[in-house]
Amino acid sequence: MTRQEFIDLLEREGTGVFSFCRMLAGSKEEAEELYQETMLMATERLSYIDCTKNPKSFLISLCVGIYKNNRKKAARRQRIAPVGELTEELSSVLADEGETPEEAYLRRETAEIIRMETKKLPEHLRIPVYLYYTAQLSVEEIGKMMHIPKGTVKSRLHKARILIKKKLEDYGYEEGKRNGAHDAKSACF
Amino acid sequence: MRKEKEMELMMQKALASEIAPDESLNKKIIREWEKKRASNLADNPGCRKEVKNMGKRKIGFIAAAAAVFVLAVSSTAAVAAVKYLTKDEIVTGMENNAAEKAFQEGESLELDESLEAGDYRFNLYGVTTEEELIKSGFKEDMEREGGTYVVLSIERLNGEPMPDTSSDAYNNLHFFISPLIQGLEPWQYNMASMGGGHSTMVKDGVLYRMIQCDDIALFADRQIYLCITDTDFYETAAYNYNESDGTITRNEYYEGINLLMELPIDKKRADEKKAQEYLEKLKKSWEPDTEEIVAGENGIVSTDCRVLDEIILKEREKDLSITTLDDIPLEILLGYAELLEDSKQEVTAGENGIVEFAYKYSDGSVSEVTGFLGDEFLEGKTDVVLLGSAYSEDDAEFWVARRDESGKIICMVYLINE
Repeated sequence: MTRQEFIDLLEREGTGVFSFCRMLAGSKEEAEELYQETMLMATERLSYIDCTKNPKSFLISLCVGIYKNNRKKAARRQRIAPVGELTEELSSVLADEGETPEEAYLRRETAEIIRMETKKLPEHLRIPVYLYYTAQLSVEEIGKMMHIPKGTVKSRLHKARILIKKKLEDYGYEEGKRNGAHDAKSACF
Repeated sequence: MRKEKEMELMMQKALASEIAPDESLNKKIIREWEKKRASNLADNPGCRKEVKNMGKRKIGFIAAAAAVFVLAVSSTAAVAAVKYLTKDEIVTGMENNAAEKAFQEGESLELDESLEAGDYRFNLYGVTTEEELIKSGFKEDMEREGGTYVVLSIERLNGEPMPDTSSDAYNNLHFFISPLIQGLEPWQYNMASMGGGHSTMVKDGVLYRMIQCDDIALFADRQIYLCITDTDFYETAAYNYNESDGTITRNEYYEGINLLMELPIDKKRADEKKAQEYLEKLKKSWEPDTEEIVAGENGIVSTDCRVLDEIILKEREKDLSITTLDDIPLEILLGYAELLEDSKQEVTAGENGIVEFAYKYSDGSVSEVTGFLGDEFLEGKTDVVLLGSAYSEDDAEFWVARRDESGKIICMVYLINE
């Protein structure tokens, strides 16, 4: 691999992999470590980055493997995610057009609850959620990556959604109201 | 269902993110990689070969979504007087039966066009299009419906030979040669997205390239172009796209090679209906998988395994909160299963509670599983843990680890079938 090819790989896949790391890891620093480790390890396993297949899927799979291997170390450092920091990073990319400041506020609050509650999910539910919603891999790809059947992936995603929905309801989120018309104060934690 | 969709949308909005790494982080990673690479080269000169081989793979990026055929034919030494190969010799030299057949039987168009740009001369030899041909050269599941081939040569204006395809210098050559179609955004519809690939050989210092992509002759009622840039991918800055009439022109201010020629493909080959179908199929292939994951009318999320779905339904009759297989406690699930006695095997937990376990079936095949015992098992909160599972439509297997009375960890396989 030439220097230029490595730069191209970082440019092409960097954002997708880093976004996933950012969601999966507890803090920006941990995400940066995970991202660096993933990209460097990828260069050692280049024969697997077959251009006719899906390099993103391979990189994400590598990332999950590294994350799991480091999880003991990570567990020591893990704290409830600094979601405020993440929300700030995401606020510009998640904005909806034509929403009022109040709607924007509520949307951010709802998204923040979802992100925080996702981080609290057990690993067997959390990782498929990030693979599906953040890395945007298909159910089939997730199944292959996690060595579990497609049906199990589906059921875990379903379960995760139910758990998060329940948490949203605890915070006052009401079904059918755009962006969660709950009492904003109840979501300030 | 509406509620499910709403929740799905909220999850997407909250978790789908585009957070780019800091530029400084990427630079740091590149520095780390360079250090590592330099140390590897110093420690093991043999890895130079590996670096060279990997370089060739970049050709594949041109057709990221499709199979790519890459043929490397060694060049002979450059000679003073270059004898150019004919189009037929080039096609034969590429050793691609489908292409040969296309040029013999397809609607072939002889071209004799020569263009110069940068340090190079590009000679266009011919283009051919044929339906149902590429399919024969690829795996059955590729669903290829037709193909367009273009043959051209590239040589240096100063007479220096083009590098051999197996050399490092070749890896540093960058050409993006692709058909473009009037009315289709060129950055979106080009070789990389339209099933493209290329074969290259170097003979007598001249580089011959045959490119192929999906059957663009379907669009022959529009203007079809061939672009050539000295880049790996389509370079947006190299061309202008007119949104109103869909025409594509060269950006005269672009610094670099940005050739553009018209491919006079027979308009009779145009097929508006098929072209539209092709575009729809292509667009669909770019869409992310948005398969909806919701409980069915029976209230459960299907596992795609009949016998397991029946178990979930049975358990749901007892407890309405059960909608998925994961909702069923493991011991209850295993109550429906048959333990394969001969699968029992004592294992030792490795670092992080990892256990490895293999089971040999009666037909001689072997399944292996590497699983995590998990914190609850390691902390003694439970004495049974699921290591892995596999289902088909008719049966399901579960690999389980149990701790016996003496504290030994025993792995075993359970089977559920109809």
